[in-house]
Amino acid sequence: MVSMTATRRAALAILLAAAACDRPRRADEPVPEPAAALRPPELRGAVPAAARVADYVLDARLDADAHQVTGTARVTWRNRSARAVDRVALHLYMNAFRADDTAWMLEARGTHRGSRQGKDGQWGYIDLKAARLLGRGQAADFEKPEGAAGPVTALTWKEGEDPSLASVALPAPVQPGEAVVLELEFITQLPEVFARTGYAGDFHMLGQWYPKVAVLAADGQWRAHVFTLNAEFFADFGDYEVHLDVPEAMVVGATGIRVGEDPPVDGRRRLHYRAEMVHDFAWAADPDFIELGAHWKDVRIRQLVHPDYIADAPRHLEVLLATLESMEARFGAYPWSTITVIHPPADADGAAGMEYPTLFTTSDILRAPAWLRLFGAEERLSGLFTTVHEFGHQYFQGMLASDESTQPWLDEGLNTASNMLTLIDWQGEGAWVTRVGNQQISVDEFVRGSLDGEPALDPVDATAETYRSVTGSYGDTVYRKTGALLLTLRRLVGPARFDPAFRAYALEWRFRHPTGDDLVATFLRELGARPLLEGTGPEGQAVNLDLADYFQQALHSVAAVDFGLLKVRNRRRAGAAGWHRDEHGALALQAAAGDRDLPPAELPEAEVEGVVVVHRIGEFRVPVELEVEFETGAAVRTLWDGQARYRVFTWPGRRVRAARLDPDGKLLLEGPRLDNHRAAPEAAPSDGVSRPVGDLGEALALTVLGGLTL
Amino acid sequence: MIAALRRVWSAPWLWLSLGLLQLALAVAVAAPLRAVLRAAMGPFTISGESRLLAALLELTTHNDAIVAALLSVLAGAALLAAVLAPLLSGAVVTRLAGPAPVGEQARASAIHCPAALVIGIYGLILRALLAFVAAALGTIHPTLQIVALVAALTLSALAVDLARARVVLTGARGLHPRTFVRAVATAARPRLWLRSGLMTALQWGLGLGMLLTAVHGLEQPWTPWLVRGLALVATFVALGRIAVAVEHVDGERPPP
Repeated sequence: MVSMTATRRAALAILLAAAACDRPRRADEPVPEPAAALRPPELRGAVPAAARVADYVLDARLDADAHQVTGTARVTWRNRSARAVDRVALHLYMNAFRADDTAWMLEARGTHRGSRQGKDGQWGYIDLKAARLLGRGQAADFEKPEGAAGPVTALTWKEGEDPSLASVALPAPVQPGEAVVLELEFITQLPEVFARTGYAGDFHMLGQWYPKVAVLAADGQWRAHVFTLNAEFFADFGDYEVHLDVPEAMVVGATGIRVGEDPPVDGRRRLHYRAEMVHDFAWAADPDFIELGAHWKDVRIRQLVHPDYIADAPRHLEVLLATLESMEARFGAYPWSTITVIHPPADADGAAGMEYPTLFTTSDILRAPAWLRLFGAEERLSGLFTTVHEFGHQYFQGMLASDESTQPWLDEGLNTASNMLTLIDWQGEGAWVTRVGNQQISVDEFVRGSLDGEPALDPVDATAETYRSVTGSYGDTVYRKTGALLLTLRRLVGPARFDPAFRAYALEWRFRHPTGDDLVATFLRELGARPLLEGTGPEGQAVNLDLADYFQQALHSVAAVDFGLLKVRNRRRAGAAGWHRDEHGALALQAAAGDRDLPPAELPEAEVEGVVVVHRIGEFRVPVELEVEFETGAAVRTLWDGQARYRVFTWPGRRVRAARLDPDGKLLLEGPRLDNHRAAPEAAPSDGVSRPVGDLGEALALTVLGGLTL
Repeated sequence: MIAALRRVWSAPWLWLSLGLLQLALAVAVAAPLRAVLRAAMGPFTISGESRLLAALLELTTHNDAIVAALLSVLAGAALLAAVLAPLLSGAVVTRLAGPAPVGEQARASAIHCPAALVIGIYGLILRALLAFVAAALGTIHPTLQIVALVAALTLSALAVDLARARVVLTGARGLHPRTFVRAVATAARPRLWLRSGLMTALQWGLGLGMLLTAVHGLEQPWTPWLVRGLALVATFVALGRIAVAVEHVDGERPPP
């Protein structure tokens, strides 16, 4: 197995080098480990020491045949709250896969993002074997916790109603500011991977594999959530020293940097990793991994690629470099010295597309068959977007560590918004995600598209368990609607104001646990309660956006943004003909100026009044811009505050040719948009769809007929 | 091959009338799709270039009839092709064999239509069998499968052409499988196969060209006209392919 792997690696490395001759180093040549887990102080941005709450010393041994990890976790935990606590809440995430009746499995029913629970390694679990209190004090020693003062005390623990939670009882309360060192012995059985973590053959992905201390809020209450299908994770920051004992042939990628390695003994290696100011530690091991190295500035990039996907690696690297550039420019310095990209093998799809601190798994790039490429079919939504998205999580939850169970939109949705900005930074304003021939789905249309399908059932600001798997509402709401609401706000107030506000949020809440209220408060502070919008209303007045109301509707309701053009027409302008009283009080008749029987289309423009009726179909009230094009070719734009159900706009003396709502596509929250552009009846408009699509249908028919297939 | 093409060139009305018939049928088959789209769009229009995909996604989300109309274009065209090929076969072979009055061509079509239909079915069976063999070869190497498939399809097309030409020109019994088996044996002659195969490949290339033009030139005013032009050329080439078979069968006939 080892020699075959080495041969394959060498052959693939040569192939890759030949295909990408501009690569600075050989494909299989790893770049050196960085000297420290964090970037130098002048490059890493603010990393507040107060954020350090839970330090871990993990010692784990992987039995690759049994797919089992035996380990010890020594946790130095500090009580940063204002209250004493007499128990420590633990997450035992792996127990989600222990049985059919766990909260996670009850919702998932054995499937996750299209991957099905395996038959051989059906179940996974984590079994706590022992818990001990090693020490306590104002500053328990993280480096050498076993040397902490005080006697070792055996502790009792019990699982929660759902086995994904447990609680360790302490002999005496931990006072505010005090620290304790717990030692937890555990055995983790990995399932065949179908939901982020587990194994597939020799490939092992170890995420959420050790007992993790929950987050104690400032009010002294544990924020320990049952692990449910859509809930992800929530933990405090800390430093990690991790020793991994693995089969010698394994190539390992892990959170942080490798700081040591013992010489192999009896076919096994012992690796030492260090990570600083992270809230999780994950690792992957596979003897078939090919290691590819690169750098972005001083950040080491390590790709561990399964041979099946080696050809994709340069494209993943290209987009990762673009994402690093974009994210750092927009949201502040990337603080860690490394990032590791894991490309799981084909039979481990369930592990693909998941984020962990300084490490993420990506997915393969869809391979369109050659004949489809002839038609210009290309997409950036599979592997490339996965890389953009999962790296984005280094910020939106890796650093801005929101509670993914209580407010999943805060990381997934903000990350989606940042991903779209990354794509725009990378490709320019015309960024697209899919194209065929000369047509494309732009970034805007991709975000907007999700709002035009199933009816909105759940608001954005909802807990993870609110979203039931059978409704399918989670992805569209949490990811894309959140992205749409932020990008809509960006278009409404303009990037010049929005981007600094978004950045301010990212900088202010680095290495903290922001909530949705914190995000809204930051925008209110940075943009003001009623930011002025570009353009003027129909009476020339300024139009403001009520920001609190905008967030209230967007986050807490299922109201949809939907405007339509109810009428676009011309009518006879109101004249002065008829009987009026003159200056003496007598009735005097004024004759009509022209032929009153002429239809509006035949009247001179001066006698016509253009009329446009804008209908707010959706319940969401937000300003919308109207562009009206006149017969003369001139066009005007006006802003409507969108508060009433409808608004009638008139232009006396001007003949309207067509009207368009939201001409610049600012309202990404508006899913249905086909009723946003309408011409006056006398303009004999073309719908813009039936002709080209009909032509395409005719071409299809001619191809099938193929010279009458004589 | 040049001689075969000359036969087509010398029958311009045949080529033009069949070409125009094809264009008319395509317009007719696509008409319901245009109508459904017009109805779905109502008084509205889309704005911005390259927005068709998003507009179509939005339309089809709310309107299943559009997908049905699109599928009906394919089904309708396939059905027409299946019906017309045997129906016109007699006339085409008669005219390509030499000048003939329209009445004689029509009579040939009417008389030989059942035989042409049966030969077409034999051709389908042969295609299926050879495609199965090609798929089996594909287990050895994918390229082998493609080569085998091209060979199988070109051979089948030539066999059908030869069988129909023999029925029309030499009075062979079209319903009898032996006529078709003999045609397959003749079609396996390399030079004849190559001549016909080139025409078939060109016909496929033109079909692909039509689709590529339509997809890459969507929304462009010149696109439908270029596609129609290619369709006329495809008809010419299809007649050329049949003329290869007619040329061969003509050579088999005793001099009058």
